Amino acid sequence: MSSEKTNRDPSGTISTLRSEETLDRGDGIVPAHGGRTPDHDVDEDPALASLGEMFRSLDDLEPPEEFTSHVMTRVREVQRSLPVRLWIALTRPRTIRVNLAQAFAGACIAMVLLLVAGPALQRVPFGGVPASKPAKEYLVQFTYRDPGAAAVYIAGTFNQWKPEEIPLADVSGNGVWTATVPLKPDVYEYMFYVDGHWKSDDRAAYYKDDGFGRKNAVLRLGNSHEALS
Amino acid sequence: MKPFLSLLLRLCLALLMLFPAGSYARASDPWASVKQTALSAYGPNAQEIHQELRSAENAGIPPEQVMNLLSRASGAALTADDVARLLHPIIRAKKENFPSESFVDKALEGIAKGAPAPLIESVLDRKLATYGSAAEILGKTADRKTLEATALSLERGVRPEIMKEIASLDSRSPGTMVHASQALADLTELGFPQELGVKLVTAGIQSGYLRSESGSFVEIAARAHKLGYSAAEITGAMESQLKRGRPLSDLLTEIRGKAGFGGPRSGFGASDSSLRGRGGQGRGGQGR
Repeated sequence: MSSEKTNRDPSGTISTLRSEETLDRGDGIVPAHGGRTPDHDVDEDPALASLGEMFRSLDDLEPPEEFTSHVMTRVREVQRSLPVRLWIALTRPRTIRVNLAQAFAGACIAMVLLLVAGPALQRVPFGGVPASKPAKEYLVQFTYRDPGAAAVYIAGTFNQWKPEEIPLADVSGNGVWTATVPLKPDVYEYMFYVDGHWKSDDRAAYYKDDGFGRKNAVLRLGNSHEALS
Repeated sequence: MKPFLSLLLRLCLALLMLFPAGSYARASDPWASVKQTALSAYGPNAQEIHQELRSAENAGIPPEQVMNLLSRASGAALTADDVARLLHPIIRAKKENFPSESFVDKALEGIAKGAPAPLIESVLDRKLATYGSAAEILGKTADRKTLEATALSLERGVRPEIMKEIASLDSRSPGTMVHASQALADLTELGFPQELGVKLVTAGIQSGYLRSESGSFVEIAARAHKLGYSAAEITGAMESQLKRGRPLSDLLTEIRGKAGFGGPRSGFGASDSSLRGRGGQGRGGQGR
């Protein structure tokens, strides 16, 4: 195998180096430095030798006293804009020194955060749409009219009949109490809880005897609700 | 810096060790905390419900449902004996593979409404009987939604033989039974004789309605009913529309138009419909 590489010599001509001539010592082992020392090269290459001679013959000159201050003044004159400085600060490679204890503490914190926040993240992915819930959810506005009522709540199968969990508000003070409740498509039964007494929704579409002497309103959410609205 | 890091490290390690230990303890025996709740709520009297709690556990009732019932019952000052009464039908329901959640919800409703335990128990017993009828109508392969919808329709007054008639129809859509039973219950509530209701629902199913919803189907009947048409007239008009293969939405559009004002008298539905125009709104209009 004989791969050839071109090399430009100091005189500007192109010479060709054959790799097996320069690297291979004949025993098949290629030394890390290629078998030739830099000094050896300089000594043997007449062009390099003359260049070295030229550098050695130059006078040892000291820079003028004001050189450094001049350079620094020029450097200070280059005022970069804030975005550029920010970009440079962000992209400049940095070395962060971390010992084993710090790394372990960081890992522990990350694990604890993951364990605590993990289930919540699973429930509510980015965008705020809960993963376990169907995308469709209805915002149902319940309305109860009673100017004399002091406290009105809504309770039903959607909140396991907790009487004082979902309050209605009489925003305009005219006795019209309202609450908006997000509900999934399903069939629900409900009643109003007004000043400690259960009241049927007399404006409901359907009712069901609750077995306890009252009538629950029946609310159906789903396709049927869309058709009725 | 170093003492802070050391403290932080110890804190994290402690948290890491406590977290799974706590979770494991909670997950391994949730019934222990149910029994603990019973004990703290009823003290020595908790022994009275220990047997029921064991039965509930064996029946496979989710412990959180029982826990909820216990805490609400003790909050409403029900005795341990009362709680045992409420647990009996719930356990029986679960043993018959009915969804215990519906029964627990009903018990919670009774507690919230201040009903005495014997009354709640009898309501739960009736509910259990209704679910039994629903299961008998539908067969053992019925899914939960269909079972619940059928039971709800029975509770709303639809007769079992009517439900049986609907269930016997060959329907390829799994939701049809749910919507058909809802429609039947709604029609019953509107005052439709159930024989007419089942006729209408059957015609609807055979024409491809009630697969995904029952609202528009029932709305036509409800609005026509409000306009003063009789159940027989409405059934006849809807059946006629279905038999001719025309969409019921045409009928609905027409009724919606009529319902708002006393417009000119025109035929309800197609010109050959058995119904004739009823001007204005309200019951007992003109034209007969």
